[in-house]
Amino acid sequence: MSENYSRRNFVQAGVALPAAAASAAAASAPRVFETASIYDRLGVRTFINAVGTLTTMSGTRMPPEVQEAMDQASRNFVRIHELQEKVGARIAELVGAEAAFVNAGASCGLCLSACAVTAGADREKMRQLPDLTGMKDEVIMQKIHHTWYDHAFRMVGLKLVDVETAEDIDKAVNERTAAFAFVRSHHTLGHKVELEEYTEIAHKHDLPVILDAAAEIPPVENLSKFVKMGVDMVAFSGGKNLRGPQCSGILMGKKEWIDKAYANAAPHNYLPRIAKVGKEEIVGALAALEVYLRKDHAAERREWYARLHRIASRLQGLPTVYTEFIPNNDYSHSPRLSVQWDEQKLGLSLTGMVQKLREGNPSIEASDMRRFNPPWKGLGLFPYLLEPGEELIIADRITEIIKERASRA
Amino acid sequence: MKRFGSSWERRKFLLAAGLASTVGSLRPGNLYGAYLAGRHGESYRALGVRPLINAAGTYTTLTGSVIPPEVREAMAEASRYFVPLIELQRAVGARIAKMLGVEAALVSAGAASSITLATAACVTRGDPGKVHKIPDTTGMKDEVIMPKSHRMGFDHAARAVGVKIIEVETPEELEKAINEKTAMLFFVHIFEHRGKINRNHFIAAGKRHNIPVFNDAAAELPPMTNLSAIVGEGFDMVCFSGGKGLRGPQASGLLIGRKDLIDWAHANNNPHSDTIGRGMKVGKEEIMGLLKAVEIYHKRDHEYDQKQWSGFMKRVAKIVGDVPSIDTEVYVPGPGGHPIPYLRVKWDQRKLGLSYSECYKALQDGEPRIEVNNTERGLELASYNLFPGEERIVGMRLREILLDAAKKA
Repeated sequence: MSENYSRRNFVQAGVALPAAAASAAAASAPRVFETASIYDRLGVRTFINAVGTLTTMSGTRMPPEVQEAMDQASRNFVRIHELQEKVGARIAELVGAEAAFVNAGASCGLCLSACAVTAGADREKMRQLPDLTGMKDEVIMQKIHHTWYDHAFRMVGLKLVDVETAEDIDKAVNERTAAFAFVRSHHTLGHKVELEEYTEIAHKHDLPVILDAAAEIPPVENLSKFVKMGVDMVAFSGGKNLRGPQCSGILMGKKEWIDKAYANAAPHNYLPRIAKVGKEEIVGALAALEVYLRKDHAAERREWYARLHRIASRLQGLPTVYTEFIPNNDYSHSPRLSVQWDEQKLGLSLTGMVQKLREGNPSIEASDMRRFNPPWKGLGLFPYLLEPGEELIIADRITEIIKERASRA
Repeated sequence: MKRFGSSWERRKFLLAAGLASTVGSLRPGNLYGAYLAGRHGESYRALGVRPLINAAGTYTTLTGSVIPPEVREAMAEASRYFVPLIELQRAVGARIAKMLGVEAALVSAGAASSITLATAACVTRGDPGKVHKIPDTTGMKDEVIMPKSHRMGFDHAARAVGVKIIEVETPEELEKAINEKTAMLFFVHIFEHRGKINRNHFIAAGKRHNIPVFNDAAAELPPMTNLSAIVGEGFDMVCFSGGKGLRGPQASGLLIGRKDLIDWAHANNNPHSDTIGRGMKVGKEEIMGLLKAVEIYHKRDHEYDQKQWSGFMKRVAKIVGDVPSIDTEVYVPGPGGHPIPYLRVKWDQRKLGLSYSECYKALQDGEPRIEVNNTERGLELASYNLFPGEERIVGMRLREILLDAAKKA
């Protein structure tokens, strides 16, 4: 792909052109690819994101309505507790939860939940955290649910007690048990005890359930589903598919528990004070939720598939190349395309492809799906963060790399 | 709710200059009226949240500061691209460090977040095993020494790492308290005047025993020189809030200082998983916003700021000057305060039949809502969060409340 590659030109004029022609046209065109001057100046690479809403990839891009809401929010002083109360009430109403508030992210939401089930709203106990002397200090968790985010519980001083079956749970519960934690995530391999049953068991023992649902939208229904199921506290990320500020999250659930979590939250001076959320993010998260709820989700999904089909059809007929749509297991809510080729014949490894895509201009981030859990084959392309037209840039860049290799092989 | 003047709506009031008959000489010009109308905060009002005029200070509960347009733009532009977050953190840190003439810098989620990261850096020294284990500090240095008079709500941010705070009162006690378990010496800039231990004792003790010395300077801007000078004095790490004097995003902060320590702080920070900092998320918007804020602050005409702020306070004093028994004083607080112009307003509470608390409440309840500091010494107004023109509204409203009381008395 040439240095002068022009994305906007290409998207406007060259949609139907074959790759070679598009490159030729672009070579003579002025460079009008949207330059990210603010990042260029720092030497930080921007890229087309076919990987997903990973925090390390800076999460998401906010729609204009959210940007505008944050912009407006930044212009005034308000009382932050009043703002949290009103925004929380609005969010709760929108999703059908008893209560909600905006925090610094899903991980922060788990930490706040952990504070709620240990210290509650008792000032002395809140001050004492993460020293849990005199408090309940165990959380029940299914063995397959351990993730890096365990730290959100451990940072409050909690011990995670592993269980595997419903019988295990009954045996594990004791007077030190503070709560049940459940993780819905692509980092975990399913559940041995489903959330509904898990919640029933917890409630039978009169204990609350904390759900990590960081990346569990879409489907949009999940925003209401878990609280309706009776889960006491549900933590969502604001900076993933909700498309809110990257450092925001929403904690929702039963009023009793959400109130306790908020008593610990910034700007109150207790342990979670270290995870601050500002007026811009609070208003931005609400705006993102409103935009998300208004969206035509079926149309969006069709568009995601269409993008992948456009890529697949452009790659058709390339030497040894094979594409397949991979099923959505529990851990993935977006369609995904796997691109495979004969690595030996072309002398091009999957790692090499990922690297070449990254190093091109514009830079493209795609996944090596062997590293997924569970592992899959080939180069993984997610469509949901692409701007219209970016899928064609990806297809043409892959075509270029494959052709170049094929001509040498 | 008590309304300001006869007209209940602020915008209408301002545009019609409804107060002209009351205080003719203070009639706002059209530009000024339009400017204030623009700060009316419609989006907040739609949520049922009343914006406020901030004559109190950069308190987090009052949402810190209002970011300048350049910062808003930087945040909006930042939000339009995907970037590798870790690369961005490094690049922005390097840029800020160079600007300030310090070894290294990191953008955190706020000053409290910086305290946690600084402490975690000293306790773990970047060792991945330790990073994942804290706040369980078994087998690690787990003591942080603080002057007793520096203890405050924010030391919870250090305790979050699992350390014990050891209190000392004299340089001799400090020397005796240092042992092989000491991870860090924790100094709070604004409390230096309170105890017998000054910064030189602290820095010297740290150097003697090779223990990092940290300075919490969250709200110590202005003076701008503090950004570089505190590290220059010999503190190994210093933190600042991003959302106070710097006028960056409310949910941002700085940690600056020695490169090895800042690197270890990074190791404990998001987006790294399984770290204590994972929940203290900072997005690309806030990172770029804070960079812009530091750049602006660094170039700012701070002398002009002081003159303007002093002018605000003098104008308020002049407006309320004809109230019976009024006593006003423009002053810059000494040690323990922020070196910016304040105004203290006192009156004979019995004579006017109005206590400071009642007046404070009336200012809050009116429209526009005005926040000041209510003290036994009188009402204290801070100048630095006022926008040009707002000082007149504050003065007129204060005068109105006081004269109303005088009439009834």
